[in-house]
Amino acid sequence: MIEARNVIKKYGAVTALDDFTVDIPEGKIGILGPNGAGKSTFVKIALGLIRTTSGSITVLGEDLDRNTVDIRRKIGYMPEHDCIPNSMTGVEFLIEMGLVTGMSLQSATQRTHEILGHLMMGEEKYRKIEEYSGGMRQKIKLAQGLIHGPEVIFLDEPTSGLDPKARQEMLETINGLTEVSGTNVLLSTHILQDVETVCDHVIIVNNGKLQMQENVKKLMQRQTDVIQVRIGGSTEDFVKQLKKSGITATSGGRGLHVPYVNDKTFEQIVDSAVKSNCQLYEMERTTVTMDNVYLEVVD
Amino acid sequence: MKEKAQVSERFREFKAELTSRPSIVMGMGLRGFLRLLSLKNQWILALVALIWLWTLGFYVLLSTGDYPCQNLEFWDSSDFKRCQPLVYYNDLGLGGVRLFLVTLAAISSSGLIANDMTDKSLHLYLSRPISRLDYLIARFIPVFLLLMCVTALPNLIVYVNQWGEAGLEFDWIKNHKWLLLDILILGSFYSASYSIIGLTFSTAINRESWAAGAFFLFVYGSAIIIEIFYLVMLESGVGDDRILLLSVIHLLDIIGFYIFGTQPFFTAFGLEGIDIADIEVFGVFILIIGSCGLFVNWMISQMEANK
Amino acid sequence: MSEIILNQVTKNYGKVQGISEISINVDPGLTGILGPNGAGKSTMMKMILGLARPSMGTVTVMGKDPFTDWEQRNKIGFVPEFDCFYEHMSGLDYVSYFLRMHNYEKQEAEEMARASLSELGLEDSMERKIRTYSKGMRQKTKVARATVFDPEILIMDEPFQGADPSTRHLLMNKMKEWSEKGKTIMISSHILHDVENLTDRIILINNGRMLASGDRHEIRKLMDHIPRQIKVSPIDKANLRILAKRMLDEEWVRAARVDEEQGEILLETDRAETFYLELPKILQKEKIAVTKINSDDDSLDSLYDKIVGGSQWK
Repeated sequence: MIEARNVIKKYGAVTALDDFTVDIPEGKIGILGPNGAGKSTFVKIALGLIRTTSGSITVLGEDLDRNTVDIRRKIGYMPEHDCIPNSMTGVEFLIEMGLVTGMSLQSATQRTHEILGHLMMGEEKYRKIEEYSGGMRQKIKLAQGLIHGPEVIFLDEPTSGLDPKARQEMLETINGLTEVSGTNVLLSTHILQDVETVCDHVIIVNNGKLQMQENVKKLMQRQTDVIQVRIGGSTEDFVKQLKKSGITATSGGRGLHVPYVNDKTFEQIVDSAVKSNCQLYEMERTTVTMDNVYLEVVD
Repeated sequence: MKEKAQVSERFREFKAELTSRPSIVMGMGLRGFLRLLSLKNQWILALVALIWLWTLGFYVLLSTGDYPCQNLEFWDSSDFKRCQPLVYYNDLGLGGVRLFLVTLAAISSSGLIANDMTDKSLHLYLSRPISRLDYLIARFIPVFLLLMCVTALPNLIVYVNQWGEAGLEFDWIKNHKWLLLDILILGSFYSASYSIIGLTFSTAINRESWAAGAFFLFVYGSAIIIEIFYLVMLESGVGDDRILLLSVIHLLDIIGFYIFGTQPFFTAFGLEGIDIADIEVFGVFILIIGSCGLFVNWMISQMEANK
Repeated sequence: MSEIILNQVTKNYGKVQGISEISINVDPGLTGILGPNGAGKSTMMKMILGLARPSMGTVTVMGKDPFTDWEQRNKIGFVPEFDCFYEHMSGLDYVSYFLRMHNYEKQEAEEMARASLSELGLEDSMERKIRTYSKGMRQKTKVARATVFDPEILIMDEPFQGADPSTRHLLMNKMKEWSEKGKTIMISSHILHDVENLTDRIILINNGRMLASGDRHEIRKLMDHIPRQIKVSPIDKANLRILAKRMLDEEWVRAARVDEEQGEILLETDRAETFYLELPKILQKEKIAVTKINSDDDSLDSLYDKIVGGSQWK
């Protein structure tokens, strides 16, 4: 989908992207990295808004050196910060954005109402945007990026500031609207669970360089050698029973951590629970989480 | 036949047909123009009406024949039913139209870019398939059209009226085609210049009302100060006409008179003729408009880079 | 005795409701405050900080009323949701400026500020102007300002907002550290996953009312009328159906579904405590080895959904 070759971008003395090379496949891609790692710069370059200092970049098969404007016909962009005008109604604004992208008034109107329907916006779509809550503003921002049915949409922190319910709704809509039409997604976020929910691939950027590129599913299947156990009743008894089978459990996070030796360990845990007459709420070999991966790569 | 039960998909695929860049820009411009003329902008509508009344009022006054004649040098004025009243233009200008025109330009242009910058929707416009220049043109068109409505349009009506009094002969238009062209050029020239300067203020000061105020004070205030200063200098006999170039209004008027091919004259005292080389006049003009353009472009590119 | 006690606290702003009849006891340790936007979380925090007087009810913090007892405020650190910086100052100046307002000597204030900022990983950037800080650094600076006095109570309103994962990780570790030292920390966040990793103790509010408070597993137990779905994966896939059938013999299992693809059985029960106690016994007796016993219903996400959706009421 996006191919960058040795891209360097400098702002004066600051190097935002330093010999950045990446080959982003089609699909839903999460892009992670600390503040100021070069994520936004990369997205802006891919949008054709700023030019690289050197290096080449190809988006959806088109070379951005030659054509930086028309590529945006195929791209939707949802910026991070609040950037919608207060003086219009939601519907007016979305239709205007559709028209500015080059849609006809008819199709822009139809599409506007369709997307707003998916976003669960009722009558409030005819109200002025200044009356909207944070979640509704975020929805309008998403809708304007999807209005022209782009081939790829760049989402910059789409869930920041949303409460848990609004966040889930936002992620569901992103998933729904992009899945049917096969829209590609480039999602930049700080909330790693968003990446787990939406993305197939993840890339991690730090100091202007690509640090890691991996398939999310594969990554999440990687198991660690720890079994997470949570029990009710007397934890002490349970730990004692485990000790008899030669296993030392440590308390960690929420519950106990039991080292995994082989599948026999599970049976020993079950036995100990029976012997100590405890409830066994949870027993699962933990998998790698995005947090672990991220912290490993970035720090 | 029995009706078939149907369940539709929740999400459906959508691909939009997109038009070309020029039509996007024209569309944006026209919508902006109509928005300026909407009933919400009472001040703009009132000013437009006022300028029209003023211009046509003067024309009616003129047709009574009370106004002194002045022959144009550039073309054969004997073709006119009446002589071309230069004093008319001058009085019209000083008497109000110029003041109203600047006010109109100030209030109509001030919000266009400033509002996009304050609510940051500029970023969204720039992420669409239009370039920075396209965006600026789209924002320029509404003010330009509005100002054309109050500059070229009333003059055209006067022109048509004159033609009517001449008996609607086609020959009359043929003989006065240059006058027609000049009216259009003069209108576009004023409109374009004020639009560009207005948009520059709108970009530089991203608060709508402040931008309008600054534009007005800069253009009209500087004109008054410079005119007074110029007159004082003349009294003391050390005047240099170039001082007038420092005022935007005077600069535009000088070029405006050039377009009509007449000797420029200024001020309430009807001072006639100035001593400035053409190259200086046009040089200053190009400098001002050019730097306005570069400044706006630079400001917007800055916004693109930093979020 | 609990550090923070709210007794029937109601606060209205004119005709606008803030919180209504909230009674909670907060013990030392970490407590998460959850709820939708506009639920009243910030109002509750303001009460505890003594920034507003309750319309009705009493607030007691460390045995005193924070609104009248000014001394009390020096013992409470507060991290506000919104930035409130002097942008032209450096992080170091900013923190020491606040210390000096509290009558610390210049030298001492600077040393304390330096220590606090370094602890939060701002060694290299504390002398830069705040204007140049990223969101994560701003959050760290706010936390440094709040904790530099070494307060007994720390109130944090959305401290993770906009921070990158490394910053969040660091802040979370610090919070855990402080809570182990016996401080009382209250934190509100929209990222339930973060709260889940931090603490089990939560307070859930919506529309100004307290919906639930306490250990989230205990809260879930109180809602036993909502059946719980538990996933069990046998090692040997041949055991899938056998185990499912066996479980259905028990009266406390309401339904069982076999998911061949995932290799797991989804069991539904309305008597979770019995289930968790009996399941290991059955497994042992039937000699079925499993690799996983786990319930999605146990996540904070699911609890939040149920409570904010109102399903805790029968």
